[in-house]
Amino acid sequence: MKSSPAELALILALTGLLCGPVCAQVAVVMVPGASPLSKEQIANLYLGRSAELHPLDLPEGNATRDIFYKKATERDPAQVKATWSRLVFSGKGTPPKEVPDAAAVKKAVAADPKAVGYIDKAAADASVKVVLTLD
Amino acid sequence: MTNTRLRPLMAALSLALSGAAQAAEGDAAIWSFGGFGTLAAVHSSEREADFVGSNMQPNGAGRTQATSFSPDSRLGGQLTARFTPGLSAVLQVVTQHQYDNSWTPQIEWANVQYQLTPALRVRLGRIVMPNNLLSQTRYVGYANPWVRPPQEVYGESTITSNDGIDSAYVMRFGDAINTVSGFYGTSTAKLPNSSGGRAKANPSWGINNTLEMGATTLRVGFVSTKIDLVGTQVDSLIAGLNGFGAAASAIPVSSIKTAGAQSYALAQKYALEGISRQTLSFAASYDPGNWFVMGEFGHFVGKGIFGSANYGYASAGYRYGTWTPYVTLAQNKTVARTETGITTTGLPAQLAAGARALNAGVNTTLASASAESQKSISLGLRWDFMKNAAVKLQYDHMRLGQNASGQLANKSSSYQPGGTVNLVSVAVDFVF
Repeated sequence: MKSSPAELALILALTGLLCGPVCAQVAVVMVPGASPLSKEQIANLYLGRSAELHPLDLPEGNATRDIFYKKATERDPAQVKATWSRLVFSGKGTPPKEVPDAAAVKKAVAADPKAVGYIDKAAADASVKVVLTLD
Repeated sequence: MTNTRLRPLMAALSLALSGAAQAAEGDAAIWSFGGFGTLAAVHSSEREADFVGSNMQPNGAGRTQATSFSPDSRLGGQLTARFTPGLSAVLQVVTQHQYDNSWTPQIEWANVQYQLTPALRVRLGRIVMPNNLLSQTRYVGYANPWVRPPQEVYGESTITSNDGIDSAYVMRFGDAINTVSGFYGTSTAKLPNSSGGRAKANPSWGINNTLEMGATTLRVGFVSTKIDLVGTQVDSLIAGLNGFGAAASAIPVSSIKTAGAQSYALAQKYALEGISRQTLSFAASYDPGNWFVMGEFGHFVGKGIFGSANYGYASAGYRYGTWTPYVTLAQNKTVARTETGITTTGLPAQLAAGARALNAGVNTTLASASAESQKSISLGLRWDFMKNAAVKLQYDHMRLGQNASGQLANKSSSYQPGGTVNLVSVAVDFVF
């Protein structure tokens, strides 16, 4: 069946509506030249199970942050908070360092070979290497 | 607090300070502060005894007040200092309902941690007593699913910290992380409803292994403790048994001499110094994100007046966004014991009466020391209504064992053991 341009436009619009932020792609980024990472490695890092790299967080309430945690760790913001309070109050770790926005993530990642951050895929550029795409 | 309890603390603090001095020459120490708290009201259906948060609390909900804030409410603060990447110190102070009915803040943790290699760390000072899977965050309600960890299991370990040393070694196999750790230390807990009574753990040591593989956590632990009970009501019973033993052994009649020897033997069997307690425990938890299931099981071997017990719980919950309904089943089976005691046949009337009184005293003490059997079902709902706070509503239905009073305290003279108790709790947990 062939769709008319009007129908196509409608489908695209609906897809956009239904998908919204849930379909947004999040890029996990490191310094250019870094090796790719697995989702498990990222989940371990951001849930405090691994301390080999230096994770960066966007501020609480940031939409990209919430999507990142849901996709990488299957956890909602409240669960992430509970997990980190378990680690902090047992002296097992400190939460990822918070930076204000995607530009700050890219800057911090470029400056530290062990730093890991996440940004909206659309914000990724040549200053960073995408080591994992979450979609 | 006794001096013996303070000495390792002072050593830890002075080490921390010298560490700070060294660090000050390089870059400045990084300080961070965090806090946690729970404001909780619990209502109990039992009017002749109190539901308490731990058996170190003198009273709670039920008999003293039908609805009480004292069993589960608490406030904690934690100061962490990082002097160098490898050297840090932590101070955790918690205020909660105390043995003396006060809310005096207590130093729960005060230790320095040194990372010897990336895999090996050592802590010195006042450190968490690692009895259970959630020992480290037992007091952080926000970090736990329920209003309180199941009492059938966590009620068995009321000493929560040690002054001493612990060490942990971390191994990685792909995405799996294995941590083996050991500890050694001493601690003193003051007992409620007594004049200066206290339990001294001297020493405690243990070893445990935790394996984390993604959403799965498996733990096995062993803890061995020698307890001295000082200044309790049992003192007069032991003195009575020794006194009877001395008096009866001096009389050259074989039946009386035998009774004297039996009395001495009882005094020795239930001596209050160096009472051995050993616990072997297993825990498993699976938490992929949207739901969780977890359980802990322990086998406790007590000597002397401590009865042996088996206990465990299983709990599961499902997360619908910010709402998490959960259910927990828990059980504690403490072995009930009796003593036939001193043989009274062939004793002169006066000695026989004394022997019967001592036998009754021994059996009353054993009964109250092994009255913890209970099982319960708990239904609850957690709602994360703010980014750093959650409210929980929980219903507990507890069935006490025959002649058992479970974890209830402050019993009236008309209290009847056994039966059921219902609790309704509302708690607000927060972190900052």
